[in-house]
Amino acid sequence: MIKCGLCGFEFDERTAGKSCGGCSLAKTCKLIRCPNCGYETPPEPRWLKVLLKNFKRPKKDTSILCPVNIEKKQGEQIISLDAMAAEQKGRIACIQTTDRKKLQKLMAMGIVPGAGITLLQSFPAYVFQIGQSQFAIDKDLASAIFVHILGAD
Amino acid sequence: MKTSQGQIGKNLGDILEVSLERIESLLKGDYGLSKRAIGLFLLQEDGELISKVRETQPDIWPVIEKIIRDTKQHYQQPLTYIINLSYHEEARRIMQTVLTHMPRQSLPFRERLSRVMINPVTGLPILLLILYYGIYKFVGGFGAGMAVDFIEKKIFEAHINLWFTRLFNLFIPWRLLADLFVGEFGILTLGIRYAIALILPIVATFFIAFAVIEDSGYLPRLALLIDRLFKKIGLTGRAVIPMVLGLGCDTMATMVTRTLPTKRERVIATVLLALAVPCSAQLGVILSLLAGNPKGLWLWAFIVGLVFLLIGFLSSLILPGEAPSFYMEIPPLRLPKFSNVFIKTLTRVEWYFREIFPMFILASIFIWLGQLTGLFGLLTRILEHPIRWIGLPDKASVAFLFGFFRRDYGAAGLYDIKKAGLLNGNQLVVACVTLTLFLPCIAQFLMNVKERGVRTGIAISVFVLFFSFSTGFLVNFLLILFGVHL
Repeated sequence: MIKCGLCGFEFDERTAGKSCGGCSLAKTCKLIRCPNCGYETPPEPRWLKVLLKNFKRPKKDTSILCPVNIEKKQGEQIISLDAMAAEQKGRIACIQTTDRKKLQKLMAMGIVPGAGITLLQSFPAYVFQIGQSQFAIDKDLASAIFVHILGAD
Repeated sequence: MKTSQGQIGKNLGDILEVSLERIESLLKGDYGLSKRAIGLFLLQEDGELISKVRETQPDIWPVIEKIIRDTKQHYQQPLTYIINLSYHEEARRIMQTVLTHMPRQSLPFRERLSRVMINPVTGLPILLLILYYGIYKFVGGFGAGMAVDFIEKKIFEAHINLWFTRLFNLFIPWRLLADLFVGEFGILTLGIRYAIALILPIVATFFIAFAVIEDSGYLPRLALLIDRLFKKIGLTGRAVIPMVLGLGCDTMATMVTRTLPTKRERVIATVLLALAVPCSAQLGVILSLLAGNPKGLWLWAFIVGLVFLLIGFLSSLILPGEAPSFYMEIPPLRLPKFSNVFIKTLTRVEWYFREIFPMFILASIFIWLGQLTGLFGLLTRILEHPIRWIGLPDKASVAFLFGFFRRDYGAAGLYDIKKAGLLNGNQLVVACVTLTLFLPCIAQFLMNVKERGVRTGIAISVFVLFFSFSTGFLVNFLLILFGVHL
């Protein structure tokens, strides 16, 4: 998606050509025309895109997959796995991600609501025990797992 | 699928079940799976099956698509999550009816050992111990030192070479033809001697060490220890497996980069394997070359390590793609079984030997042909220039010319030059650094092309060639500038 420098309209680069209408230069012209206001700009070079992509901070996943009204027992607290202390035990509350692949990876490890989990170590990677298996994951994946902490205030 | 049928309906209300039944009734034709299974895959938006259904029933697809869209709207979470949840629920139900788990009061010994291995404070000293005894002492000391000495001196130089030289000189009157077999670069005196006396003991000892480490379950623990460092070079801890295997054979390791999940990781790993990971044959020869020069050995390890991290870091900046995520199962530690280690080592050594043996003989033939036509002399003279730039004696150009055939072949060539006393400490380090970074062997080059494509394969080789000489030049220059004598 690109944002028009003049009117701020957001549009897809590939569909921009449609707004050129019957212009005779449309086939050879490299300029991108905003479908909203007709303002034309040259496209970003590929190398710049690649460079920017690497320097750009990834957007934080803000969408909530965890249901808002998770059932909480008295004296329980919900925190993400990367906030847990070593040897702390808990029960999985939910997985918070919209990334399909990430979700599938976590579910394949048996991370499903209700499963018991123990964090064994948090540095250099998060190591946890679930059922009879142990797994190591990085901070990115650990921050997507939310856990009911047993016996916390 | 049949077992989950009732569960999905029972647990998640009727909406998903009704949608599933509607999709089932629409599906016609043979998909090789039950209609219910196809329906479940479609609801989870499986790309492969969507295109198959689209192709087989193009008129029905829009209806199915609408059902999927409507079903999705009823749930806050993705359908794949909802469906998988019920699979887990069903699996848990079955397990509870057949399994009683009684946990032990105290941690078993192997679990305590595992915790010690993954704790960075105790894990790093353990890693250094494994490297020291497994690689330096066993592969470098025993394989490249004792075993090579014995096979080369007691078997080849004392018996086989003498015997064959006499035999050939007796029965083949033409000096030129005899040279092909028993000359300075002859098939028997050089090709087969390098393969059996130098490379075989080193590779075999490395693969024994690797199989023991692999079977004990240490590799996943090493992966989690090293993950943070590898993230800086665009890889994850998972890449530790091809990297450690690369210390055995880079060609085999390049093939193993397939296990890395993204293309970006695979390209970075391939570049690093081609450039800065010496294979066991090369490593063994270098360890024995620098055995009497501990400062030189440390400097060599430092430079190669620095190049590994620097090039990894730069390629992670340049190459497009998302930052990878690390996940790995940590299996329980196990005592390796002798028969498994034996079979694994034998299989790998056989694969390796099949790969190099014809190449070594071919190299001897090419060198012989090159000598006959004068091409060998010409190439050596051309190579003498860059060799002089990095401060090495002219004779070292032969080793580098060998290096074009195989990196370990080049390192083995260096071994002969050192034996002749032609290299001082500084030159030895420069030569070892340049040859470590030098071009991948022909087999690895072909594997690079096969795995990464012709363009990337050639680009990696050209980059490696220039980078290795530039680094050699820089190291030599800095050693002279600071007046270091190793």
